[in-house]
Amino acid sequence: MRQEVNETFHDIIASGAKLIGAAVGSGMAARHLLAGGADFVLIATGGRFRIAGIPSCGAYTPMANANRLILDTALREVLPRAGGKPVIVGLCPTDPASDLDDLLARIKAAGAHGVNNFPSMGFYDGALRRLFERSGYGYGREAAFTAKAAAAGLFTLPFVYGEDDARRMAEAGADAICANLNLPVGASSPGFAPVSIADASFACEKMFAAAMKVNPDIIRLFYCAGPISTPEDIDAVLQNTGADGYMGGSVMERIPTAAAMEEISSQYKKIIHLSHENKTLRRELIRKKGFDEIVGQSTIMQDMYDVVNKVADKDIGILITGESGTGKELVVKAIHYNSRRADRPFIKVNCAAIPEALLESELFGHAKGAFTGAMEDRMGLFQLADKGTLFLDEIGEMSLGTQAKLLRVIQQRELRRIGSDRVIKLDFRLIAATNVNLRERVAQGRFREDLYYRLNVVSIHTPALRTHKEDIPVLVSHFLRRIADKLEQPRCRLDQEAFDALQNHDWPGNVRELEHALESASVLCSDYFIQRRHLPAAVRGLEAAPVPPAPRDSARVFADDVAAAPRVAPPGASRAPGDEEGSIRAALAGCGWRREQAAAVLGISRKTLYNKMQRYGITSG
Amino acid sequence: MDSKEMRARLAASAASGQPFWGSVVSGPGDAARAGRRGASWATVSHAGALDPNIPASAIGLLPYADANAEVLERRLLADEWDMPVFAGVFASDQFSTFEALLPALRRAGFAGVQNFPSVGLAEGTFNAFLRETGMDYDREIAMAKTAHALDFFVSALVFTPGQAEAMAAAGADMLVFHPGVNADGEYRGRAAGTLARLADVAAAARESSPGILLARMAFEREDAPAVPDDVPHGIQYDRIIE
Repeated sequence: MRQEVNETFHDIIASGAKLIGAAVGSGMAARHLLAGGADFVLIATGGRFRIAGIPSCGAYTPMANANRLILDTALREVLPRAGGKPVIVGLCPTDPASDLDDLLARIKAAGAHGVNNFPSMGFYDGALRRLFERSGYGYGREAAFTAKAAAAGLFTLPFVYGEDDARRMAEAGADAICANLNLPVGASSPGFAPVSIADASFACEKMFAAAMKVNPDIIRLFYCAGPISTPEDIDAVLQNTGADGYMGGSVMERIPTAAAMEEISSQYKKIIHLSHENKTLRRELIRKKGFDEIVGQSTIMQDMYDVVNKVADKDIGILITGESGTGKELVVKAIHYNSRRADRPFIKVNCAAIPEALLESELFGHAKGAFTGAMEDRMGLFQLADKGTLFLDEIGEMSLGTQAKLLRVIQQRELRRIGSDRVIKLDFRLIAATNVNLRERVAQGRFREDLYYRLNVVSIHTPALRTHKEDIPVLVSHFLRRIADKLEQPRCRLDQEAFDALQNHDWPGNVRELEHALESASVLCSDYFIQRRHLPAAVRGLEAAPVPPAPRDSARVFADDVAAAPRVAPPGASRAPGDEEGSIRAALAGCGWRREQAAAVLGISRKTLYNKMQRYGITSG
Repeated sequence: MDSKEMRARLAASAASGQPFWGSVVSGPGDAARAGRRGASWATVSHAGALDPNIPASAIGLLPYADANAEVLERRLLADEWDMPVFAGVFASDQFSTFEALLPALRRAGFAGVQNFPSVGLAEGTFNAFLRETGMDYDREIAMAKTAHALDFFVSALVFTPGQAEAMAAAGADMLVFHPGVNADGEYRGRAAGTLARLADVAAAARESSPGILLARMAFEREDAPAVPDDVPHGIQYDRIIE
């Protein structure tokens, strides 16, 4: 076995390729990673714990006898599925309860090709490690085990954690070493993995050099989790150090699998729920049109959803209030698509966008010859909305004259087209929206009080984004996904500084401004990685924020509804740039305090996030 | 023996002025020896059966066993001993929840628990990883709190005054101060300053729980002090000392 693996690996290296290994915890992972091109797998308890949903550091604690656990998995799951490709078994050499000779004989008889020292004493440090060392439980036992395994004809690929370990393993006759960069190696801050490619490269170089002094032909691999995890990062370390290969753990097994499983279960949940019965399916598909577009998990948004749900089925007047860009139209659509009128027309009118002279004709229609230019009969928007929902946006801009006519139509549920005596009966639901204070306009005599109360049976306020910044992470995720679909490109990621900028901005243009900022950054960035410099100047705090234009999603939308929105952030309202603590708290809150998700949103590793949480004293929600 | 009787017996024992000590034990032989020698309590742990050349509280942390399963397997012992017997609980175990484990220990005859082995001994990278993944000492505090709510007698291994305060607030009936390991990797059982640190631990704990019982961990034979003392306390031996 040993010679065979050595020849195979040296051939790969001689061909100019790099060795790629995968530390796995199950037969399925082994099978698929080998099928994808991995040159070997390491089956060790770290992977076994990961696949059980337990952090791999649990493999260093008394939750199981490491050797018994891994022997069972190696023999029953992994070896039968490896298709003859090299399988390395991680054994704990210091376990006083294990007969190492017997273990080596058993894995060899079962067809394993080699061994590794996992869990290793190299993981422990400080005084506790020194206690183990002085009690005979040190790394030296692992070197002795490696020598024993090599003598037994097994390929040996031990983890090394520093120069001394590398030298000792080379002296023990190891065929290969794997520099484990999960631990302090002198090149980084104690306690965590090297945070940069340079650190990782430096640490590897030192370990490789120490081993090569003993055996220049020793195969040199490295293992690293955390911040250095993408194929590009790994390639950089490979190039910097001349390493012969890389062994991946959670980046190859847990991370892609967990994400895929979450996504697929979510899809099934939706589909199965929908197929419960046709009626439900239709209702839910219709519902999807409305609610999927409204994003936010904050209390303020939850409260709004609650009201929307309650009023959707009630045929009552609703007035939506809120600043421009807060998604008033989305709320109206959610109400419409969740009402009994869902399969009937949804008609939107922007009252501010249509000249006063035309508005009456647009709303009520006209007969041929009713006025100059009325060349033929025309239906009004009220009539188009019959049986459905009519959405009057910017209702505050309507003239008093038109208001009077509108009130009459609402009260009588009938209208006459301009220039016609024929009464047309109508059945419609009216929802109005405004970004001005209508009550104030009533007081000023600019808006009819009777119409105000007729429209405003229930009012729903769409909150300004600056009042629920905790939703920014989930909004960012939503928009980046949508933008990726729209631009037909991979989903962009944000770095910490960019995220901080988004978090610090006060968003006078609200959610719409956020979407536009992300869309423009998605186009301007390189390698789908958004940095702060790719964001609009206003978002970076370099200039007052212009309010982005409204989307033109319908032929009936004639103008932006941004006129009344504030053009600049209120003085002193912005947080100082670089308020990292706030960003972290917001990301955590937005992700339900799931550190891994929050780290992904922030574009940093879980360990970095943890470090920062420690620094700012952030402990829980 | 139920937790109420444990409290009464241990309080009486501590107040009697007689030697007040307990030990980590691994099985019937250990237990019998401890009983013959007048132990006031015992903590059952698989670690007591591992290599005697290294303290049980250290080797017990290594991945050589399913610590909690092994304690459960020793179920029959708990009823047989005429002294308070605590189940050593590895609180960071991710294969079970306290809500499942503690009732199982109760069914196995245990009315008392101790966070043993304890990750309070971990430091550096090991501890950082445990903390990052929610498997750190805070979980032991949570275990103590749950056990107290379920009316277990709770003996808590503590390493710092802060942990002592937290464990007392969680409802611990007894604290066992573990002096830790010095920079050379030696246990600090008799090191200068240990008693002073014990006094700090006592002060922190007694502020919130005045009647809490106190002991310290010892790793080699000591003449068990009688109580009262300057800082009245008993001794818990890391394993049965021959």
